[in-house]
Amino acid sequence: MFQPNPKPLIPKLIKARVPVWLLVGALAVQYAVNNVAEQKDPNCRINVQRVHQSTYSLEYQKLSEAKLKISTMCDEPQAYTSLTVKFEEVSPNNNKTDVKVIKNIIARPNPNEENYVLIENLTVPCNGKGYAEYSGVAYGKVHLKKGGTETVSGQSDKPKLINCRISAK
Amino acid sequence: MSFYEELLTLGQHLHERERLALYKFLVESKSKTYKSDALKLINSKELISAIANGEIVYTLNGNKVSYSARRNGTTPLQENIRTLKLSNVRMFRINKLIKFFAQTEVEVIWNFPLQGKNLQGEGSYCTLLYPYFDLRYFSNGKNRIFGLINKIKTNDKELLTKLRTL
Repeated sequence: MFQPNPKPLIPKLIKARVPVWLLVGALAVQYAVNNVAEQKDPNCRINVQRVHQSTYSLEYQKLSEAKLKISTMCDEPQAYTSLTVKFEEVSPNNNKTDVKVIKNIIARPNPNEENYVLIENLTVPCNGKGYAEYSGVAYGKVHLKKGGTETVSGQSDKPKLINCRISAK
Repeated sequence: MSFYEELLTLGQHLHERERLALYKFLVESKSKTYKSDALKLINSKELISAIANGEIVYTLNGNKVSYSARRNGTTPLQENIRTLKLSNVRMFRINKLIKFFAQTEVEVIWNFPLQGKNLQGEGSYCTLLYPYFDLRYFSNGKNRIFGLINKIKTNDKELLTKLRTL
């Protein structure tokens, strides 16, 4: 007598065709890629203050000088900031002339405030009489403590008229 | 107060021309001390010194000398602020160390001054990339020949005379 072959109630598990080690490897790679994508790039910014006349030099050293302050701030610790700084004279028709360039300034953060660098006292003697408008420009690199560099550049927001003439020597 | 003592208090208000004159003054006036310090450093690989309101730690590692510094009374050191490769020849090595010590002391005076009549700001530790004994300092990082010409043109006789008048 014909006896039908009964189908098993629970189907057989399909044998995996992809090796387990390859599956685990692919998952690990995916995890690493996601992690790298989530790590944000370091972010540094520079602040170039307006050129002004140094009251300290005028009061205590009887010297007339233009002065500039610059700071850089990152969202992670810096090793140091290296900058080139320019004092620019701005003519009434908005032409700009470099009157002083200070290269290769290096500033290191205080150990208790490693994300921030402040260059306080960049001065240029006023060796002529009369008023002129100046702006400050700075560019360079922030060297991060963990390695790598971030390029920064900036200028003071608008020129300032001060009682100072700097001759471009 | 002598001019030298006054410069020890100026800190961030110390002008570039004053720093250069100070360097020359230190090289000529402290050369014996620096020479003896150079020998100590060569023998013991580490030397602790002080000037103005700063403490300096020199380290000699192989042919490289470097300095770290801190403001007196504060704990963290600013590590390896300047590093210099030295010659293998002992005499050149000592001469370079003398210049390195003077350079370091000027930078420490600039950044960690003594208390003067004015409050100092909270500025960072600033240096220039090229030291005064490198001709590229005088050419703003360009050619050494231009640097030599500019160095010869430098006139700081007046400042040096004031510094020598103790």
